[in-house]
Amino acid sequence: MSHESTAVSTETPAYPHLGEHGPMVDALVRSALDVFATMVALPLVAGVPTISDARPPANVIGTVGFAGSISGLVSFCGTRVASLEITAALLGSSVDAVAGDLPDAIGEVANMIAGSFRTKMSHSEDRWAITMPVVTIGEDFLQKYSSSAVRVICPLTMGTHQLFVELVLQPA
Amino acid sequence: MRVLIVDDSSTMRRIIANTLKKLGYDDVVEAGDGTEGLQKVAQGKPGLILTDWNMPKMDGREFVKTLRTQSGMEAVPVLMVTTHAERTDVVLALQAGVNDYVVKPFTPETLKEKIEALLGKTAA
Repeated sequence: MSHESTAVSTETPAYPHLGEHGPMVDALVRSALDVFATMVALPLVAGVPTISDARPPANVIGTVGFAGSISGLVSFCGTRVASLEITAALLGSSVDAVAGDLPDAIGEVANMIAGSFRTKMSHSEDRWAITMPVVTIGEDFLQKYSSSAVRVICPLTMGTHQLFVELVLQPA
Repeated sequence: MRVLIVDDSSTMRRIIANTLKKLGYDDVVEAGDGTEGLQKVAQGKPGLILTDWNMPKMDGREFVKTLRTQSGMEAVPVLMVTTHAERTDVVLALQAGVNDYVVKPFTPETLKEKIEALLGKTAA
């Protein structure tokens, strides 16, 4: 699997190639950028999202479900090394000291991204709810969704690390 | 002054505690849900409480509602720190007895300003 790594504007990314899903993906990417700018304080650059069934190359995945007029999942995906750096940055600690904190920290990152995404998508006549975060850590697993689900992979670059946010939409 | 942090995320408790320490508040007590938060209050009255909304056992709104019925806790400043950002959410939190509201994600400066405004001071 390959992902285009050419950065697009992190201010107002727009994804016309995603059609009707573009605004929702834009809201998700901006949510991830907001979380990193305010809470993690590590530079993050957004790449070009693609509709894809391929699994992002990640072994730490924080997932939060959402439900409103549209339902689905938001996942934050990274390698263990990148996830440790994020955890250390969040906690103001060193990478060597945070291994035990990684699941909760990545869960909180996923929770904040999904919460910010919900705020951007929700309005008074379409109230969205999100689930508690679930963190999956491992080397050899597959995440499978229903065949009708639409899956958008959004690459993000943090220094030398490739991260992803994933949006899985379940048709009504 | 004792500060109580109520949040089911140990990460968020650490982030908030780190900010409080930078502000000079070293007497920080933590709880993982509203029920534990009430137990901590019973063990020693805090001068400031920061609480999440979504938590197991007892959520932040129920925690604050119960807190406000307890003698001596009617006026303790409570800051809600949550991903709930809609206007109706803020209204519900204020109705429960919350004094002010911070939406995640937040900058340390935002949290600092909210705390200082709640405590009516510019430095710890």
